Amino acid sequence: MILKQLFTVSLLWLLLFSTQIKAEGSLPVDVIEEIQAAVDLQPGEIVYVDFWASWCKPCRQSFPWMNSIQQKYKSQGLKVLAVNVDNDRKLAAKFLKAVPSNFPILYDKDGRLASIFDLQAMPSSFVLDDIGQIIQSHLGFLEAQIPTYEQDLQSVLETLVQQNQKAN
Amino acid sequence: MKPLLKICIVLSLVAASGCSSLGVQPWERDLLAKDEMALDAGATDLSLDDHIYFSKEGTSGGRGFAGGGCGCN
Amino acid sequence: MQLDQAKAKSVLFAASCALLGGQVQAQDWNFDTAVMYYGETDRVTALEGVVKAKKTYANGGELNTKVVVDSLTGASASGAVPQNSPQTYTTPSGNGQYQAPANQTPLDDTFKDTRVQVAGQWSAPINDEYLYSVGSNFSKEYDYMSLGFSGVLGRYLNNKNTTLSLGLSYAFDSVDSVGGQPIGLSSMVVNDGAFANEAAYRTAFNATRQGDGESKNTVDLIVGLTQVMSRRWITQFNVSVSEVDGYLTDPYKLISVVDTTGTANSQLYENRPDTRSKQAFFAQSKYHFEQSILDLSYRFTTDDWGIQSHTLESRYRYLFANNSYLEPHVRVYQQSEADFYQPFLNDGTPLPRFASADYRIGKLNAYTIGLKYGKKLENDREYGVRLEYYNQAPQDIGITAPGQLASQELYPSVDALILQVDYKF
Repeated sequence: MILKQLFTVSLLWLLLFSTQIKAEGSLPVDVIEEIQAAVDLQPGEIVYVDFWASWCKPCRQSFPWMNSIQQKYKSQGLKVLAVNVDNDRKLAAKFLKAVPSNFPILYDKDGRLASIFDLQAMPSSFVLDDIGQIIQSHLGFLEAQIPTYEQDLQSVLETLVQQNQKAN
Repeated sequence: MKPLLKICIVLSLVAASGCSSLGVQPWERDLLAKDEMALDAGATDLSLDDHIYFSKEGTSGGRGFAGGGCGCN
Repeated sequence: MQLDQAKAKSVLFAASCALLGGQVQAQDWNFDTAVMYYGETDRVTALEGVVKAKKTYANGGELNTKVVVDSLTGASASGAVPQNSPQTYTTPSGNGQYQAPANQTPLDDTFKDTRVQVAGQWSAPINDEYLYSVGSNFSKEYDYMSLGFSGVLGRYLNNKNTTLSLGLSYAFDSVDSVGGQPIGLSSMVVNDGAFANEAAYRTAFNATRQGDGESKNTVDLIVGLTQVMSRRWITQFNVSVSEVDGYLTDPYKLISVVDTTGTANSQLYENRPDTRSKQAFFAQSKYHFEQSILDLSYRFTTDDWGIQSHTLESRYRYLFANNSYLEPHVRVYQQSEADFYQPFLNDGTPLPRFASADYRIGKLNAYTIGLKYGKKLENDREYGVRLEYYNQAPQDIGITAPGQLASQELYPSVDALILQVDYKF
């Protein structure tokens, strides 16, 4: 009897819906300018913005991949920016000593940028075009998904090339 | 048995409604991400203890495991 | 014998479970090892070693494996009452006898027992919202075997601030004790010279035996809610139910039948019901202060044997600047007796259907105080040392002790020292 009741209650719980609100559309102008300045974004380029923290375990895997894409797609107009949300800068420095990065780091100690981007999980990445529109985003980072992430990035870069060709 | 069922129903209502106002943003989980703050921190100690108390006392069990941590991915 | 019935309630999986997908690349292994010494004054001592290995996979999955080896030696109170003259009891196999000195709590026949347990668990996310875990464990000692399976489904809500979980586990335990299981409430046959020959004794002894091994089935259901309250505070609530079916009696425990002078005229083998229905409620809170973490938990259990318990436990970890910590620990436990618990039976009163004098299902108060010191080293290594003191005080349930029993210690306290060293790498 009690088992039956517990089963019913448990099923009710599992049927609950949760909605996720993803950041869509435009960011405030000052944020766009801040990001553009951090990577010296040129017209026709895109920037891969990654939010990370020293306490985020998957970030240890994402950094090597971000190093590789920065190198691989630099000529195609890709810039990479890593935004750190650590409370304590020393912890971020410790992480960077162990996990090197060849892209700029922006420090967002108070989570101002994080909340503007409305992060739903850590880590989160956003691909922005040269006018600050969010054209792609990913929640979390799994090493097994790297091929997918790279494919998604490649398709954005291809669209970019096409757009640039049209413009010229 | 009945009081336990009541607790169950209360918990489910709490989960359904009240919990959306509690908690932190994904980027504020620095302390929760620490190993010591995991709900199963010291799991080895806990299971060794459980073994002792299971053998020496008349009741056992109750702990769960899921949730908490850095909330990554 | 007592420590062999520990069925791992934690979720564990067979390592042979098919791993997800084809492109899983293993990350590094993490190991967690510990050795624990448990020593009661004049009673049981145990040495236990644990080795855990964890592997994380590129798809977010995690494999946990564990091997535990423990060795027990000594004896516990058998349930028989102390007397003002030495007492003789028959060993479980019927092949020998053991003594209890005058005015001392009679203990079981001293034993030495080694147990090995192997467990495996696989956990992985299903998608952004769901995760699951499956596990299995196997445990063996010479007269006991346990095999269990479990599964947990977890669901995240509110940006992973809330986690709901549903767990189910099943265990099959089989006992084949030395000399076979005694018939419940049969009288212990002692070869004190009254038998014509060995064969006559054997026949009488075998009449108290119920043949081959016995088994039991356990099903557990656990429903849990984990809630992040703030950046520093996380809480957890669980409700669990458990149904056990099968042989639940302790084949080595006795209950004495005493007359009005308090003299034990016979010893009966105890007898417990063959089903047990338990429910438990558990709540835990962990709060991270500036330099310390407070872990507080409470558990309430109740069952259809009449046993109810309250457990209040707290650990306070003080963190030092050099990555070391000091953690005092307190646990307070209170248990009410089983309906069929009696310290002894009275000659002349009708025999109940179930009876046990095992203080572990009697009225019991216990407390533990301990201290742990640990330090984190480079490369994610860590070591720790823990020292604890455990005291159990069986309580008088108010039954009048007749004759000589009035001057005997019927509810002796048991205390134990626990020492553990652990190392993670």
